[in-house]
Amino acid sequence: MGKVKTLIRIQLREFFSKYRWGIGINGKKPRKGYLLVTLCFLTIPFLQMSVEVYRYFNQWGRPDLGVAYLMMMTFLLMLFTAIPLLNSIFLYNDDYQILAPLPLPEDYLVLAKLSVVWVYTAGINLLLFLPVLFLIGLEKGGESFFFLCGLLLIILTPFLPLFLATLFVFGFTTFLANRGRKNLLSLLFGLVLLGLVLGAQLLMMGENPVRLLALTESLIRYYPPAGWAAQMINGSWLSIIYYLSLNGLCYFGLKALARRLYRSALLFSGIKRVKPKSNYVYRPRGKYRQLLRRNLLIIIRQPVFLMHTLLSSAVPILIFLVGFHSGDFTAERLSLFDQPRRFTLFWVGLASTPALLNNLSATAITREGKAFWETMVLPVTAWDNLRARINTTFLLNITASLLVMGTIMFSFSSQFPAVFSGFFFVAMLTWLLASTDLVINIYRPFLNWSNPAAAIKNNLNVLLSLAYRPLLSLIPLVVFRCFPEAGINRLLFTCGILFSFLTLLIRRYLYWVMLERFKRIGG
Amino acid sequence: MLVLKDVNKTYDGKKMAVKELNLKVNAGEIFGFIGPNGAGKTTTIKMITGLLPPTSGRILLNGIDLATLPVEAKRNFTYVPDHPEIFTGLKGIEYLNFLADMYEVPGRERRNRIEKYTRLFAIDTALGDLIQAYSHGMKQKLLICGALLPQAPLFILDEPLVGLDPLATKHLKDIMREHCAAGGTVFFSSHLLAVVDEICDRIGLINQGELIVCDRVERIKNGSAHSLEDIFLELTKDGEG
Repeated sequence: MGKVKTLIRIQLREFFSKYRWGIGINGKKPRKGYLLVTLCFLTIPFLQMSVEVYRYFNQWGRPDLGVAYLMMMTFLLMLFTAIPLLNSIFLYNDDYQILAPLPLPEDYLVLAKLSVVWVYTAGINLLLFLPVLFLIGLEKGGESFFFLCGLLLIILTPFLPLFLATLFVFGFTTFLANRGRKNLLSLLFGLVLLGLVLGAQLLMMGENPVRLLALTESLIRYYPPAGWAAQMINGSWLSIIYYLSLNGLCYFGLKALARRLYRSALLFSGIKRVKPKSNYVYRPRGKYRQLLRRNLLIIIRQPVFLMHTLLSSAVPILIFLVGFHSGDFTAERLSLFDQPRRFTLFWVGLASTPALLNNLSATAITREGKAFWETMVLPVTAWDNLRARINTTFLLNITASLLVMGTIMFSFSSQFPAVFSGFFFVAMLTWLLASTDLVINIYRPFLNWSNPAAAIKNNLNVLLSLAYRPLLSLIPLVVFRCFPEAGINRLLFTCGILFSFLTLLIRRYLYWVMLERFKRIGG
Repeated sequence: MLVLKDVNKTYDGKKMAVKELNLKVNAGEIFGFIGPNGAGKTTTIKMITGLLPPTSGRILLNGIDLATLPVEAKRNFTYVPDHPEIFTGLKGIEYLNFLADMYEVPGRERRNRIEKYTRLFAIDTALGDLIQAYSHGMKQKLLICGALLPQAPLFILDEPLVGLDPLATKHLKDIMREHCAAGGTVFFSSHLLAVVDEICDRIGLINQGELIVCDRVERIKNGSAHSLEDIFLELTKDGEG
């Protein structure tokens, strides 16, 4: 048992070390401030959602349905989180060459790997369930039966989604592993997960309350554990027995399936595809174009980077599409005809979102990791090297903004005010953010990562770049206050010019101050 | 071809990694740079390649100062590092095309050279694969092919033979000799003293950041029957102790 504990501890440490690396505390005494800020950023949305669900269902006298609603939501969240996670831990991990030769039973290794997925999903489950259970518990006066129910819900709920996720990953691996398309899985489920979170939020905001109660009750029929959970809260022992039996079965099923997944991963890890020699292209390209292309490929060819970029870019389009199709974003509601100024601010805000969320420049150097030396020994100027990074971010984010604009334009056909001034505003803001974020990355290059997620997720650079963004809203605020009577075109152009002026200042700073620092990175 | 004048490197203003290094590597010679672990070899190579700025001193490549004209200076060399840590999201052919563009190798020549070197090092069939699928040795071979591609006058290699199979090692040694016979220069570091002894025209021995010997191999041996290994161990004895 000691061995399995050690193994689990090592797997957990290895997995969570990427988060520690990301916030710059690995190998050092953790800085409480960093940890606190990061944890707040991560947990607040979950806790807020849980409290909202409780308040919503409690006002109709059905807090038990709130538990059922959360149960269905956590089921989907855990399912779509576990699929890429299992994929990465079982199929993408290169620790097999260290683990497999160890004199340990196969079950120990499988259990250690599964424990990481369980801890992660149980963490999500805990964040969502804890506030709602705490609030219901207060009402019930802290009964020990209720405490037992809460404990069971938090510990056991992940088993069913984990079992189904493993079943899916196993099927997908059998079908696709030898075709080298495993990355697709992470990307696909990342997008589904994002759509799910946004959809659930919009449903809570926009749905008719009576219909939502009825909808929750009818969905329980398709997912009985949610119904059992609600009845457990109301004091049903029978539901506890059902719940325990189902999760017991899932646990053993999960272990058996994970063992097979482990074996197939072990098998595939040693297989290399032999491809016939293709006709390669030897066409010369310009140096700068090659640098841009390399920076783009660093994002495109690394599944974690690609997923992160695509998800951040997809958020505004998803928000718009969900809102448009749910009837929240109609021409009438957005006052398209009577207040075109308000509508313009709506679409310009949405089109600016990719630049605001996708702070690619804040990790433009970090993403290269230990391969950073490559471009530094080449006969290209350090300034071109820097500019290529800024322009890669600009290109990606402006493309996403154009897609947002295109989607809104298409949805409202010909009615689309202030196209040029709005686009100018968005482009200049994108350029400014792409340049400013790079300053952060030069200050904190962080090249020594071993897991790509550590390079971009929970990286302090990302948090810092998000932290200064609200300050930029002062520019449009001041401009709109100073010229209240001016037309929207003029206001947007003025803001755009101010953004471009700031960008030029930042670029001068990059050239005269930061360039020397950049040259010293990685030495 | 390569001149280092009074080059110093300190880390954090305290630890002297390289002390007053003066070195001249002539065109047409293979220069072996040897020393124990932590002696300052890789730091020196990083300074020559522009990855690390020297604390003081000058580095000239083909007469061009690396500090003042870095791009022009860097056109004169290609580099193979001690660890094949390259961006693995590219395909082998994309990596080679990238390097060819950076050194402005014309289309027809790049094709001929890529085909020649990749076939020689037996990685031609893997060029369509992502580098992440390459073994350590294949990555090393790809780096070597990339460094050979521009045919720069100076070829800088840090521990190039690690991970290479015997046939690839032989090819690389032959290429180094051919390159020097054609007027090029090779500067390489290695712990494989037998190889250094076999192919180098001159060697420089660095220990604790100081160049303690820099001469032709036969003159260092001075007619004695001792091997280069014995001499190396004798000269670096104090540092080890």
